[in-house]
Amino acid sequence: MAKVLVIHPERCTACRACELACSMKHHGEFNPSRSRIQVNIFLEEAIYIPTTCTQCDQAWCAKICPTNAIVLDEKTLAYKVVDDKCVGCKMCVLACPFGSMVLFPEKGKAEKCDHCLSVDGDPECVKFCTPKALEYLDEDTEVRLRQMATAMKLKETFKEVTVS
Amino acid sequence: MAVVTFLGDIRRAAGRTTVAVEADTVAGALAALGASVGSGFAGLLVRDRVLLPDVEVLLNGRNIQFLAGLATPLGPEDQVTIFQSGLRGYPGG
Amino acid sequence: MNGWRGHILRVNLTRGTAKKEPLDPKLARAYIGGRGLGTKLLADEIDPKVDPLAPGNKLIFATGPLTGTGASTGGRYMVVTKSPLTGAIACSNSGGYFGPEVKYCGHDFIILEGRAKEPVYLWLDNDRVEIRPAGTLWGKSTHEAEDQLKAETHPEAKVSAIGPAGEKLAFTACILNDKHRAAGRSGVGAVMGSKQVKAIVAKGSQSVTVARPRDFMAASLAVVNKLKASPVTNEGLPKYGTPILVNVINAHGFLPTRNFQQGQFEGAEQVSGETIADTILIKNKGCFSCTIACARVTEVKTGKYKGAGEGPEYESGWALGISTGVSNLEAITKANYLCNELGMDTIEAGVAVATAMELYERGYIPAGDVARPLRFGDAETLVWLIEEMGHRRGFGELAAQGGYRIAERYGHPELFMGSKKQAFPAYDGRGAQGMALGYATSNRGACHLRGYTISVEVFGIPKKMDPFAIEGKAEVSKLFQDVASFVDSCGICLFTTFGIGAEDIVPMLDAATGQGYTLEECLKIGERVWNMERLFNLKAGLSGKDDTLPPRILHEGIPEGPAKGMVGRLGEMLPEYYRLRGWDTAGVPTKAKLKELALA
Repeated sequence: MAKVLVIHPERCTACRACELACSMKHHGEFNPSRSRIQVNIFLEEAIYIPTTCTQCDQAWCAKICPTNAIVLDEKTLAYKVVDDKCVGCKMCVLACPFGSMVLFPEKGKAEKCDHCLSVDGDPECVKFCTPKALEYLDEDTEVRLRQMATAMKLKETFKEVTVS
Repeated sequence: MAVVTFLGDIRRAAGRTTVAVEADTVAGALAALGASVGSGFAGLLVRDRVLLPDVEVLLNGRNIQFLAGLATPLGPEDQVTIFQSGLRGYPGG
Repeated sequence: MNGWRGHILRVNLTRGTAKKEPLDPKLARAYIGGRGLGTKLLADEIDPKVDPLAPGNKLIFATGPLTGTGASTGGRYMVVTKSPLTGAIACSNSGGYFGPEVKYCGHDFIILEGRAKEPVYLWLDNDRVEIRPAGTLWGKSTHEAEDQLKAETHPEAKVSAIGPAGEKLAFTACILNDKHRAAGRSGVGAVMGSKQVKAIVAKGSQSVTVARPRDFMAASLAVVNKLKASPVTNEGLPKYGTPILVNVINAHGFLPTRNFQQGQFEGAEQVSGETIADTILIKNKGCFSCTIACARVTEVKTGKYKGAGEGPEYESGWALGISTGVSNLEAITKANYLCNELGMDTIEAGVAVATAMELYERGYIPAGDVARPLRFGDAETLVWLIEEMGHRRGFGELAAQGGYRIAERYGHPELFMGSKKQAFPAYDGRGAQGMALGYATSNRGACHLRGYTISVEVFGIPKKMDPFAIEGKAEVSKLFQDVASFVDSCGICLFTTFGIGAEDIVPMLDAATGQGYTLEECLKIGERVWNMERLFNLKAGLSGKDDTLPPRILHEGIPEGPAKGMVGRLGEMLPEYYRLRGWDTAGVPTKAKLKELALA
């Protein structure tokens, strides 16, 4: 079953703990500019939106990589960069329309969110997100939850209008 | 009638801010809340005749712990205030 | 170094130079950072008798070894200087995102010395430091300044700035970072203004490393889980914020009302955390790496007090309302927004307004001295006066210096409610004896954070103590003061202590720095820091005589409510406090105590 990193921006408190968890997990250091997840803070509108790789079904990055360094994990359907195959050509950075490819200048290689597959498959950002703005769920679960949330709202409306 | 006032999230659980009660003691007042607020409510505050941790009760602004606890007598004009503390582990603890 | 970046950035504004210096590892070990090491650096480098607004004073932005790490709430920094408000040590804490960015530029401390010839700002562009002209920024609000500074540097730069109040050297002036987070107390904004520094702007891409990453993350996750398990840090604070205290303290009868003339406020419900959550609250927000997320993002959508921003917090809402008798939440919120934009400490500014109101109502301020009557409860006057103060014009010129200077000017200094010329916060010490002692003995002047005995006197943690009693208050005050000094030195938020203890912080600090810290050593460091602050104050000219409270608190009982008749029994607690501290009867640390703390 594929898993999805679900983002709930309305729950985000802009604490950026996810950025720190990510850089620590993959680089052993605290450095938000090395994080594969970024919290975009729209301060005046009070809207905070974490963004990261959405694990495209037909990934531009994987298709364009000349050394096939970006591979699909069959079980989780997430894409990860195989480090020793990456030559740092940056074509993936050009190709991704969402800016999900992060460059690591010192190593000369590209990186992307791979649901922590290159370490242990247990997304660190999710662990450190207190308001549960980040969740790691079976791909069916989130869709189903949203359907049910809509149905609940409809149910309340029906109750209000069908009083006889 | 004594008046019981809820603070913070206890208001949400109770569905209201204040309740008037007739009772002789603080324990009686908490038990009497069930009549207006629902029978499960008292169970959020008291278990086995003991106040749950994190629940503070004031009688006229004084914590009942410095009076006679739940057995503290209640008069007709008295004000009971219930709030949650839940602070834990503060300096040294 | 781990935790620390290992550098001090020394900026000489007179000469226009910026130099990176190594951080002495032995000093770092002994004082940790933030409040501890920041104060040590200041105490070593300035003459304690210096005029706080003269170039000889220094302004130190002090991060801790945990600042910029993934430690929960690991985003805090201190601003340390000599205060123009009190003449004593100033040490103001702030959250937001600015502190970590300084670490990502490679610095633990920024020391501002001297005075620039004209307004400037500092631009920390990773390794590079530029001192840039700020002529077009001078006079702007902190918000306008931040927007312009980001446009001139980087859209995601972090900014720490003063407003017009600091530029005009107001003793109520503070420093705002990330627009809504304040290094609030003791007039630190005026010191920044006296150096003609409008702002520090930082954007860095360097890393903060820790000595033992696995241990650190385990300790950090343990802290996160404990904070999630505590109803205060996981429910109360995120949902209602600090204003949850309004109704609680009012119920106890020691919510200072109308300049400490009463202990309960009839309008408390209207300005409570519950009401804020039901009306102006948009959502809660967190500072850097914060599990708690207690900030109030708010908006007044319509009407004459229309506006948006963050706040009011408990202290802010109390000082601007309640203490002024104002119960109009929208007006209070507007006044709070103005304080943030103009750069004023909400506590000091609010109490200044309350002081002026009492003086006016008693007939001590001639009507001709002020453009409108100053009456308790007058919402429009509150908002008007705050704006006047932020610009230091009209009556605001004097009022911006704080309640003590207003009361002194009109011949009644005894009507200023504070200690060491700094305004009391939102608890009446007559109803909570531990706070009476804490206000009088706090090294930076009246402060609730220095020794927050409300924890035991209201919430019962770690044990319940009767707020009206004096037994045991000296001991618990000393303990809380020492622990808070330690926490304030690490770079995390004091609010974590609502859910964890010092024993949970030490493993994180040790895994970060690799220094072999123990709980015992850390508590000792806390005591060392407290005594070092005390020594600075003594050299600055303060004495045990300044550990006092106004006559109203010492001699006049609260007139009504649960705490009716109570007075502040400072005189009965102070001798025991001095004894427990190892100080003589005049409040001077003994040679033996200083030797024990390696301060002599």
